[in-house]
Amino acid sequence: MDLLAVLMDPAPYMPHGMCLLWQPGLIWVHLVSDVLTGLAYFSIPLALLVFARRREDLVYRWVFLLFGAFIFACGTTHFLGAWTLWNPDYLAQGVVKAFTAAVSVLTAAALWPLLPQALALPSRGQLERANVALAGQVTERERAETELRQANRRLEEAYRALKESEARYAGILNHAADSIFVVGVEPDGSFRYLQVNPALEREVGRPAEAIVGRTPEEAFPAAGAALAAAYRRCAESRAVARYEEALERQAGRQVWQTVLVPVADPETGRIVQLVGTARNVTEHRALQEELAQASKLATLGTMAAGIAHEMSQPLNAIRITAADCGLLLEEEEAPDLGYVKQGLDTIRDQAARMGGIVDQMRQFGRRGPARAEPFDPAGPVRRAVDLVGRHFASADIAVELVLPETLPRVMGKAGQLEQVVLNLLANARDAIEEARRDGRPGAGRIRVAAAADRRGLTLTVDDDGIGLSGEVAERIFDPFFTTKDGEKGMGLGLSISSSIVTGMGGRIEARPLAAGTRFLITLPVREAA
Amino acid sequence: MSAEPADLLPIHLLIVDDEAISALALERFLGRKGFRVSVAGDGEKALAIQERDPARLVVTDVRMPRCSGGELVQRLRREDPSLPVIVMTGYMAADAETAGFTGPNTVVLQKPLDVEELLAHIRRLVA
Repeated sequence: MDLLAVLMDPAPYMPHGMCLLWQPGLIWVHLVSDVLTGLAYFSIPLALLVFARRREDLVYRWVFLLFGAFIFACGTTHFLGAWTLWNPDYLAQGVVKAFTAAVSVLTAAALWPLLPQALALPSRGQLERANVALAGQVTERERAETELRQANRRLEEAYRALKESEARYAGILNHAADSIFVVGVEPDGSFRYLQVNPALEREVGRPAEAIVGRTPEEAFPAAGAALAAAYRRCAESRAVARYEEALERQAGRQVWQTVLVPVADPETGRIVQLVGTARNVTEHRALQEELAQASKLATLGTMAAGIAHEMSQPLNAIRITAADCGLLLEEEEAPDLGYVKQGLDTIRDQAARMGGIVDQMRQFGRRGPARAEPFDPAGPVRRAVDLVGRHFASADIAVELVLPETLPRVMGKAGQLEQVVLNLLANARDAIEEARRDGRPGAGRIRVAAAADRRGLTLTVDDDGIGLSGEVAERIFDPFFTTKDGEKGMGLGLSISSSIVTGMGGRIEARPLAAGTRFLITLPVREAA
Repeated sequence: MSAEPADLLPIHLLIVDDEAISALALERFLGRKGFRVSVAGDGEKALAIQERDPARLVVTDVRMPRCSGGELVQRLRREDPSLPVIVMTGYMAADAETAGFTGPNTVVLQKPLDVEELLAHIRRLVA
């Protein structure tokens, strides 16, 4: 109470206005300045207070409060400055100033240590930049996440596709009608089955367990050595191999058409696997055989006239000579036995000649050996030319045969090659007769030639007949394609010839000559065994 | 040895056949029967012989290189329309190939030949 009384007691001092000598201008300046400053100083802390309350995330809140208190105190001193112009309450003013000083010093003291921390606070520009960078990072991260999700989805799809593909391949493998097998090639060059499909199990009549993990010799005691030899050839040549192999089974002899594909290790290049497919062509081959046989008989049929001609010549000579000798013996008391002997010699020779023709026909008509074997192609080519040569000659068609002294052996059936040459000769004759009807009476030469080089054997049959149009050349090997009338045949001859040559691993083609046609057969040569 | 008519000169026959053995057998037989026999391997040779030394009768094969039997007969008959001809056919297509051989002085025989039949025809045609 005492202090308040002292503070409120104006008695001993004079108002501050007196120091200003009550000069109105000076009084006004001080009064207005102090009041305005005081108002402003009261307004600022209020704003700071509102700001501090609203900004919840404010760092250093207490500094704001401190600033607020210090500015409020300063404002109060200004109001007291205005007050003391007329009321000399200097004690109250001093107390307020002392309080202001305390708060100011406290604020100043608090501010300096705070300075480094406040400086470390990011500026707005920094914050903006940081925000931009952050936004960038966020976008980047979202993109990465999207990519990750997509990658995941792709991975899932790929996995599903892989599963489906595996299932599909397993399906193919399991349901394929053809036998499929994979042979592993060991570093030492031996072979071991890695996988076989159910078709192979059925075909060979043995479960996979009896094959997989074993060598060919272990899995197939009878045929193993031959199988391994075929695998070795494929692995060494590093090329796709196609071949036919025959296996004896309870069901009888089975013929397989096998394709082997060598698979190399991409890094070392070594052949590590052979993927094989095999198809049982026994029935197909048997049918082909039947067809070939039928065609052979058909060929014999078309040659019947020629053969009859061939036979009738010696038969005629025999009959004349025998009748002549018989008459002689009847007519003469002392027949010339030398004459009779000559006649008997003629009969014997002509009978032998007929026997030769019959043999040739029998050989031709007979089913050849059951399987392909190496043979000298000169034999069947010569036999075919001999069989028709004389007959053709009587129709004014000369057949020239050009054979080198030796020819390499080819693989197949000799009788079938003979049939091919006979078909081509018959075809050449028909072409020549056609040319003659077409106004070229001079036509009448056939040339059969064989030659061999490293690539194989080539056999050509050239004629100077009517020739081939391009359209006919394309279709000439088609079954039942014929340019001739029904009497000449069914159009099977060249088709059969083509399938025979293909079966021997060769090719047959027709090429136009300046006058006539060349049939060209190429056959692979069996390397010397 | 001969059963032929006792002409002063033996009758000349021409055999045309590309099959030498058959021609030889015929030549032997007909020679033994007293004929003078010439042999030609094809139609052109036959025409040459006929021009130089005409035969009373020609025995010919149908199918031969160069000049065929049919063509030969045509050309021979152009010179001598009444020339007796015996045609020998050898094989299956006989009907078509012998269709052209007609006329009173023409005989078609199938191979293999019956020599007694042949001889009878020759004797009748040259009588």
